[in-house]
Amino acid sequence: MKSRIVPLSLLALTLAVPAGAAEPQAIPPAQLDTLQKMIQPQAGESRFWQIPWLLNLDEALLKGAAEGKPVFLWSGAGGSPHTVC
Amino acid sequence: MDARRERWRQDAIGEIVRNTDAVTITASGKTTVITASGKKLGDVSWGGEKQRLQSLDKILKAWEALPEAERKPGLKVDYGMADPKKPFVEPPANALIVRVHNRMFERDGEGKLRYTEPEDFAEGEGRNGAARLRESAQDMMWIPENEWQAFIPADAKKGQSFPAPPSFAVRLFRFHLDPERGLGEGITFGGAKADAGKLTCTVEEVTPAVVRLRLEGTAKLVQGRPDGKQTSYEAALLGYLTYDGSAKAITRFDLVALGDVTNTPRGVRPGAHPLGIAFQLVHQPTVAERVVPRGGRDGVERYLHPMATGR
Repeated sequence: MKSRIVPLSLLALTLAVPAGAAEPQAIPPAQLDTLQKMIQPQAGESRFWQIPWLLNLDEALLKGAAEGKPVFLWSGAGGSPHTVC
Repeated sequence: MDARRERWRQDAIGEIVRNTDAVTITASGKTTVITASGKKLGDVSWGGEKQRLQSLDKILKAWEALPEAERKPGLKVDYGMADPKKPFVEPPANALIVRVHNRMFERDGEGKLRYTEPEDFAEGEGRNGAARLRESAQDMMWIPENEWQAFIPADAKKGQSFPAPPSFAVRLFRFHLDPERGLGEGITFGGAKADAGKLTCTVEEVTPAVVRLRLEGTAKLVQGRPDGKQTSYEAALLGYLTYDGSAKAITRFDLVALGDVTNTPRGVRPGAHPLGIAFQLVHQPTVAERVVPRGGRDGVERYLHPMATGR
């Protein structure tokens, strides 16, 4: 089914660290990839990134006019939203 | 989109935005649906799933109630010339675009990292938002062409070590090692200077085709707060950067920061807890991935050139 709205805007890691605020310990190179994946969104998270947002309102309005669709705006205070907050 | 740009632009689209009250310049942001002809169909509620669906249903009905001529494809519109004083900001030519993810962790009984649970958060904003705060927060990082080129020695030799470009380090400390991402619009360590950390590049591999660098170091960022406490983030950093000499391009940029935050902004978590921040090069950015980094919203030149003065 075609979209009816033009969108706009936009493990357990084995790295053991001591409890409490501690001096940062060097990250073992072998654990970089695992740690990176653990930090990045997991399945089902940050689904708003799946939407093909536009960032430029001018383009979105022209696209809405051309395609006969309303325009969904998501705006942030001082810039385009990046995240959930 | 950038509410401040759209709200204050002096042109036909700015008029539409103001007439429909389509954006707010407060920190909360807003979701609204309008038409290309400049009519407001409604605000999308953030009150919860039921309210959101109800508001979308009302918006759809308002759209369907419009005359056919306003809804059919090919509507003729003419917004005239855009306000040249409010330009649309795009990444600099040939800049690296890097996705940034921040995620709060907790440690289990053995000191291993685990994802957060509701009880890890303070009562109130933290506990109420626990499901959202368990997820990673996101930002983008822009690395200008002259800066990423400065990572690559002219005559690289295996084992060679040198400091990371100072402007990169300061941008990282000031705008990206920030525990506030995902919590609010603030910038915790906006006054950080080059001495807030040390980042060293080491050449690990040199071939006729590529130069591969390891990037490692530490950062110690501290900021006083109005309540007399200090928010700090002390992190270790490790990453890799690969330069393809034939393409004259960076083909890999991965970096991770991991350390403890003490006194999380907005008080959502008591005491100290781990925060991981991951950086990864975007090879073919989507439109949305070209969004201005949080650090650049209040002045993209200050973000891109953090060592410069008088901007």
